[in-house]
Amino acid sequence: MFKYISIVLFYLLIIPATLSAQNETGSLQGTILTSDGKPAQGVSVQLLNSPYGASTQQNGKYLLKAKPGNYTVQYKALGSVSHQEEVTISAGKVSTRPDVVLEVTSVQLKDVVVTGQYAPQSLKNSVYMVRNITAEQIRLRNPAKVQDVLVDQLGIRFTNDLTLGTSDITLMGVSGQRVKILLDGVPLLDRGDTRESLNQVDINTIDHIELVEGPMSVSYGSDALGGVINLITKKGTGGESLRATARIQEETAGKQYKAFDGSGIHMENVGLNWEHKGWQLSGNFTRNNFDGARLGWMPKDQYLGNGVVGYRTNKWHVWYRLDGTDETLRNDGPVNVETNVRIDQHFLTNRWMHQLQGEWQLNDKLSFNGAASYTDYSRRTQTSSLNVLTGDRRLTLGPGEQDKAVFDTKFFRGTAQYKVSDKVSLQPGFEVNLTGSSGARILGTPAINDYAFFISSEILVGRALSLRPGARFTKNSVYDAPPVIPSLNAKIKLTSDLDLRLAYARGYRSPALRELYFNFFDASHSIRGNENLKAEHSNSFNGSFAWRAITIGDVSIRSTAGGFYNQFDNLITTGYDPADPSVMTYINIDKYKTTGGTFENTISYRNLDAKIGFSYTGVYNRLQEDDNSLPGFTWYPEVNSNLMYHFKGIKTDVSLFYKYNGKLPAYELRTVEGVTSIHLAQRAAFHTADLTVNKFISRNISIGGGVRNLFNVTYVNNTSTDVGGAHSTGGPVPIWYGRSYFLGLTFQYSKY
Amino acid sequence: MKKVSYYLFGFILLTAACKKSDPALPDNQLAFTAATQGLASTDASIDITLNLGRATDVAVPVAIELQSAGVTYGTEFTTVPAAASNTLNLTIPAGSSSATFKVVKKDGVFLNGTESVSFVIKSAGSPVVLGSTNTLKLSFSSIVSTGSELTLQGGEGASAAVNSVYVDLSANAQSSVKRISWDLGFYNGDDFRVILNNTSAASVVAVDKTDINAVSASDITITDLELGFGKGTFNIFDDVTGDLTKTAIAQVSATDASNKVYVINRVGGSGTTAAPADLVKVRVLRTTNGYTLQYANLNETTFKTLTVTKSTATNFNYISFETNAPVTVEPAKDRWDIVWGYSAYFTTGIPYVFSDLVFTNYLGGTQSAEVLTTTVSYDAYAEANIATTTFNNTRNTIGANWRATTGTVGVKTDRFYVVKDSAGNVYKLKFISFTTQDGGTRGYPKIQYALVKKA
Repeated sequence: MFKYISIVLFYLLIIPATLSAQNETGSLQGTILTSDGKPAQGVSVQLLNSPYGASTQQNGKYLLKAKPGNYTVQYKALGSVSHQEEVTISAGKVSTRPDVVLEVTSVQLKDVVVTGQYAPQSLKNSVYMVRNITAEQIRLRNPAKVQDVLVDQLGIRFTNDLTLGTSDITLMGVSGQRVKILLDGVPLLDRGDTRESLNQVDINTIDHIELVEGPMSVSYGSDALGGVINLITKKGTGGESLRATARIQEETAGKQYKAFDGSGIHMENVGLNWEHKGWQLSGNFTRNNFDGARLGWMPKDQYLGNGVVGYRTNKWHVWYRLDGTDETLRNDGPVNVETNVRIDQHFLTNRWMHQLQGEWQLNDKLSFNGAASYTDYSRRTQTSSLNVLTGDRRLTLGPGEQDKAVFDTKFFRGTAQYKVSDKVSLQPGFEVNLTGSSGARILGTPAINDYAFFISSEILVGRALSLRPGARFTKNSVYDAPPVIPSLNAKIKLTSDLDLRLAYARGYRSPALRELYFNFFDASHSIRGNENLKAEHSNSFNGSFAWRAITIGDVSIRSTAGGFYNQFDNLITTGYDPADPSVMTYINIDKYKTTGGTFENTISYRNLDAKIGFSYTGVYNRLQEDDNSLPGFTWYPEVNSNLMYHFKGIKTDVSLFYKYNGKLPAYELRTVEGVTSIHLAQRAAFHTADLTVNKFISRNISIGGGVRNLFNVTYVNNTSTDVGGAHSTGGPVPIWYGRSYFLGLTFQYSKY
Repeated sequence: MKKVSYYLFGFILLTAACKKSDPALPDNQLAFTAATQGLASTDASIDITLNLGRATDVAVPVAIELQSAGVTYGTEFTTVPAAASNTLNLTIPAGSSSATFKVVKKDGVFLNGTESVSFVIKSAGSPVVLGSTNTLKLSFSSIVSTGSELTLQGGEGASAAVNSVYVDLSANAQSSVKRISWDLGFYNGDDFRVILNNTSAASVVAVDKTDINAVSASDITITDLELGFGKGTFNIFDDVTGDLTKTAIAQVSATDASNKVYVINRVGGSGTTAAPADLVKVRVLRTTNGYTLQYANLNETTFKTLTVTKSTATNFNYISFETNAPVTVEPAKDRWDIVWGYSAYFTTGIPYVFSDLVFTNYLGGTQSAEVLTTTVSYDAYAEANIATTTFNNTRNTIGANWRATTGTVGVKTDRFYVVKDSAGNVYKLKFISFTTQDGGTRGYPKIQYALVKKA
């Protein structure tokens, strides 16, 4: 029902935009450059004391329409650097401004982050250490899904569940349900423990990805205790523009490939973005079809669509966005030669996510942000038998073989940003999260309502120290939430090239609906939720040095070194119900810890961008409590490197993305013939690398091709009996389906 | 501009339209268990069962036509319920999945064994559909089946189906027995042995006392009785190979003073036990040709007694603590070959309780062999192959070897079995399906067999 209302709303919003006639207006256009002579993207261009404004496109250009008159035009980047000049706009004429050069480098401009910030901010000035996966990196990666972009990031691991066709993320040793996934700052709903939602978002609509390690529970609430992954979508620029994009990409699944359908990955995307007089309309549609069945990877058909209606003036910006996901995972069984019957199990997921977001800049001191969302999610398990001789398909009747789980979330967050003085800013805010669910595998129709108030402040002490204390107060309808969640971040400017960041934060994760009320019993499952779970919470400490701009000739180097220590209490995990050992349930275990460090370096030399990073992550060894001779942590190393080279003359980029995933050890209890002993299990080390070549054939068309998984990784040896997935009893873990090749074509048309 | 909104609208419709209609439910088929059966000359009656594919939610009227050959209804035989003008009307009540009627031989009637009556399902109420086995030819003598397909009626409970199913291949007959309907079995052979109910995962511990009234909860450690999910040992339930010299309750001695008290947890398997008050203490004594059972709830101070006399018809005599009486469990020992069901068994060296175990009637003289299709295919297996088939008389040749529950879940199609019944008939037997993944239904395994050599 909701979706139909929204369709109507959508249309109502379109009509006024389409009806507005071409008044007598004039146009203003121009180009903005950075101090190093590159086009400056995302610079806001405003006609002061008027509603007219725009921001610059990728090529640094802008075009805006306004009523004739005399104006002051202001160019503003990163919320501070500005440049003003007087302009006159005459009816029916296009006045072109001379090029404007801003006092900001292209590198600074590229590293604008929003996650956890009061307003878009350069990475350098952020009190949080934010990792930014830029639009350019994403483009050069030619990804088919979000996972493709994240997989070679330091500290990120993915585990694949071939029974469910899902992947889950581990960030710095902290597994998926403790990592908050946001879409433009709004949490994505997941039905269970795994962050399936990450791959149910259309990568084609993602502009860049911001990654914050460590808890951000003050700003983002529950789940944000391992870290936050904020997917930032492509936004309009304001002004006048029409942009059409289309992308088609074909990829093999290992050695298996069939064009456009069947084995491999088949992606098609079309998108349109139109902006006129402050209005923005945009839509995107993607088919993303994967079939790795011959290699044991479940085929996944995705149809992803989204639409945006927005309106902006210089003071405020409001937009509605609808994301729809239709996903079918197909697990088609082998044919029983005795009966000629095959059993097909399909998982059908539908996700409708509505978002209404607004920003209101009342004056230089005060601004408001609001985000409301409603997500309607359902997942069906549909099992059917197919007689391969007659084609007769029937539903099966066994317990648990047909199921539909429905989840919905209503979310609202409002914040105000108030600049008390040049030294002190305040951000109070509140957040409401209402989650409900129903289905055969959920006990009753439970609802969890969560209300929170939070406040933080950014204080400049002297010239070198910025402090950000914060606190969050939560009230939950089901469990006792921690009364107050504090955090303190500090950034110290040691020299003009060296920053030190220190942070302490408390994080928490409320028991998820499924952990409280799950109820699933069939031939191979006996799982029950636990209504008496307590919230998990953590204490986290992290610190980092960011050192930049060693510039010798054409070479520039930036380095970051950081360390972290997280200590979790009441961690929720699965275990046997003490009252009935035949039933699995969710229990609070006492302790868990992660610690480690990262060292990342970026080197730029002319047309080469190189990154090399190391990380060493330690995960708590719980068995040390039983046996003091064992180490307290088990450690695994990672190395990653990106090499991106741009051939200017032939407009071609060659990129290599590499990651070494070190041995992953774990102490575990093993019972052989009734005798239990402690055993050191290990997942073997492996290398992954992707090589891509992207070339602009013309201004509008680019072609990309390459090799994924150069090292031809499939299963990686593992001596553990517990690989963290529900559907594995140990043995080799599936990482990838072998070396794959892809070729894609991107069409982009822009009119300003 | 129109185009823009058109596109936007279009994609929303497209995503919304991606709703696929569901496949239909399977037909609910009504059928006899087999196409031929026999009423042995020594038997006065036989129960005939019609089964639905699944329980019906409305009452289903069924009309069955009787076509007699050499016998006349009312003269040589009758049915219960009675037939009128050669038509038998039955109703399968809502919530049920089967209907049974009885064919009764009249007393003092001489039959030469060639007579038969065919039952033909003429109609069944909607939404039930007639299955392929809609005719049953009942001979008035025991038959030696040439082969059939049977769907074993394990009943509700899927992977813990409520019934054990005994199958007599030569008679196309199956009988379902509730697993928890009995507690102890008393051996009818030469030895004096008592078996526990492994099919309810019962467990037992011995108490070093002979006065049953003096035994209470303080004499045992209750957790010693926990069986399943990693708990328990092989000592607390009966030998998984059926070796009667290794029963959990020791041989019943002729010397009463040697017969100790045992404490039994009646239903287990999930690593837990009943409350102490619901445990049962037993002591078994020997009589000249049988047993005396003393039993009581664990904390009671008086006991009940049951006397069990050995008989030659069955392998064991069974009793139930619930009914305080003997109960019928297995058919006569020459009238079954294999039994399917849930039982305490083992996996990788530890006790494990699970379903789909198939045991042969090893005490009744049934022999069996596993044949891989790499040696000879099921279809090609003929009398000539019997000579090269090594039969053995163990209980668990078939066991759980015929199906896989991990990897490619389903019946294993790379093997079949050869069963030689106590009369000497040789059948080849294969499993068709047992669970959803192979197109079957858990708790209702489908078998197919054919006569290779008649005794």
